[in-house]
Amino acid sequence: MKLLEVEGLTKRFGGVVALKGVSFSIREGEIVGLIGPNGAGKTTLARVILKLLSPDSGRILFEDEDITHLKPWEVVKRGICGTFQIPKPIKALPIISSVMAAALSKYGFKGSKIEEVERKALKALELVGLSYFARAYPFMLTYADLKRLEIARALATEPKLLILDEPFAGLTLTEIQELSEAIKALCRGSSRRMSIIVIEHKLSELMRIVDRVIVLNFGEVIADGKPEEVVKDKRVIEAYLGGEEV
Amino acid sequence: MMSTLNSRRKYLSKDLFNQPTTIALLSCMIIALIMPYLLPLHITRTFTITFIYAILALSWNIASGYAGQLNLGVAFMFGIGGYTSAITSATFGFPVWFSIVIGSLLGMISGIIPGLISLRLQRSYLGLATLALPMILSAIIVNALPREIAGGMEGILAPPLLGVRDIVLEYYVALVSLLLSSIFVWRIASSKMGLFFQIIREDEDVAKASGINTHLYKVLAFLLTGLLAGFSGSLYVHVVRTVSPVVTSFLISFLPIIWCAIGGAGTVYGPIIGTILLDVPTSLARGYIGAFAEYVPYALLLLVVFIPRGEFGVGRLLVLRLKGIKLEHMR
Repeated sequence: MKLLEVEGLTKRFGGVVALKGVSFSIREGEIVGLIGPNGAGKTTLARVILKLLSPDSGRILFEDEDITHLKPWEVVKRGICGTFQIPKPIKALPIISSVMAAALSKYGFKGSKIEEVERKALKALELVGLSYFARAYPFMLTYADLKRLEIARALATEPKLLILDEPFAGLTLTEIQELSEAIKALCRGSSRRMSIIVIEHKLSELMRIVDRVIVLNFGEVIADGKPEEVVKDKRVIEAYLGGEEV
Repeated sequence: MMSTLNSRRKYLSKDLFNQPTTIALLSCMIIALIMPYLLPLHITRTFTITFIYAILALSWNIASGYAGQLNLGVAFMFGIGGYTSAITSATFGFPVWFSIVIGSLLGMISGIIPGLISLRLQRSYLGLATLALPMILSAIIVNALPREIAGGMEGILAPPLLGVRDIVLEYYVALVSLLLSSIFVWRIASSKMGLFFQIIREDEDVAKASGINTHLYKVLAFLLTGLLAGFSGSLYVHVVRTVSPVVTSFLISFLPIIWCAIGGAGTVYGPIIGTILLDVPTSLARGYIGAFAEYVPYALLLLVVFIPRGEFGVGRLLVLRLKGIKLEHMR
């Protein structure tokens, strides 16, 4: 079943066209890699889907509902959540608080039982291996842990679609491998068949965990298929390395 | 329920209770209760006004200290509350307690205006826009409202707070009002709403991406600021027994910012400590150095610059010292 359908998305920043008629779809339970050279429009696409930016034209359908004109928090309530390329921890509060805030946002003014929210937040931290640091402040965490915290915050909203923006950036090889396993476990281990979009530059690690790869270049989709097919696509090779195989 | 409240406070608020803080709090309460019997009446009166100003500082702290929305025009809501209460009681003859309620409610409703502005403008642009609000209110009062009702530049007299002039009773009313306002702010700070305010303050994009309706909560922050500011304005006019465009002056907007900066914005106790530390010496100094007393708050603001970690607020530093908490985790 198609979870997300993006149709003809276009986004301009003044004279710069960041996204040109981008179209693709994501199925339930898929891990999809979104790759492309710097400036291809990957993060812009993520921010448009998360409604942190509004598209100039095009449609976004999530579970057959048009979410193109919804506010960011409405999109989160429907089940789409994402992380930021550079971690943005809430420095003034213990990490459990920012994760609880994400979990609390699902509930209205009444009916939020604090114990249940606390449990969801701890579970989210546990999924990324940070439950031991629940009461720590962000300054006590390593950069890799801050990346995990971003994921925990997003997981606390119980998303059906998780968008990870460069989760491996700034990490060591060991940390990347650990995080890759965690990401795979999130999708495979989930009884809800969560889908994940992973935006990345570190292609070798990404190709091991994704089911499909979408390649952007200058705001356009130039390839969409299995990793082993995409790496041999001439347009992808030209876009990335000017002729050498990816 | 108690354990839920405790665990919620543990995670959601930095104002944790431990033994030294509780002892300090109780000591302050005891001193406050017996003060009128130890001090001359004019000093008691100074503290009455200071407590009312502390409520104003607490109000500013909600939208600005907790939610991070720069508000340079809290005098707008203070003035709305003051004028509403004075007019309701003096001109229309309603009881003072009822007038204070109406003044508070109208103060709250007036918070919608800066709240809606905050959806469009951020940071210094929001500050500039809110700066204009008290000026607009003053112009309306002087030029648009009938003189028989609002009194123009001279203002109007307001009935005394308790029907009769009783400095000691007014002091206790102000003290209880401050206590209730503090509990009100503490409850907000340690609630889901308070947590959302703090996330919005730290990073609005993260708040949106976490599913927080930032539009709703920013407006709510200003509504709550308006409620307390309106309440303090209403109390103020009945203690000083007069209302005039002075209640919308720039100082009324600006001083709470200094009080919170000194005391520690984004805490419950910070605005109270800051207001008492600054306003009491200023008011008392007025009798000795006249108009130069107005510079005392600005001089004390230098504490923020020169003492170590002064940017966190002198009041906050004192309380953290009491709790034995180190500052490394603070922003």
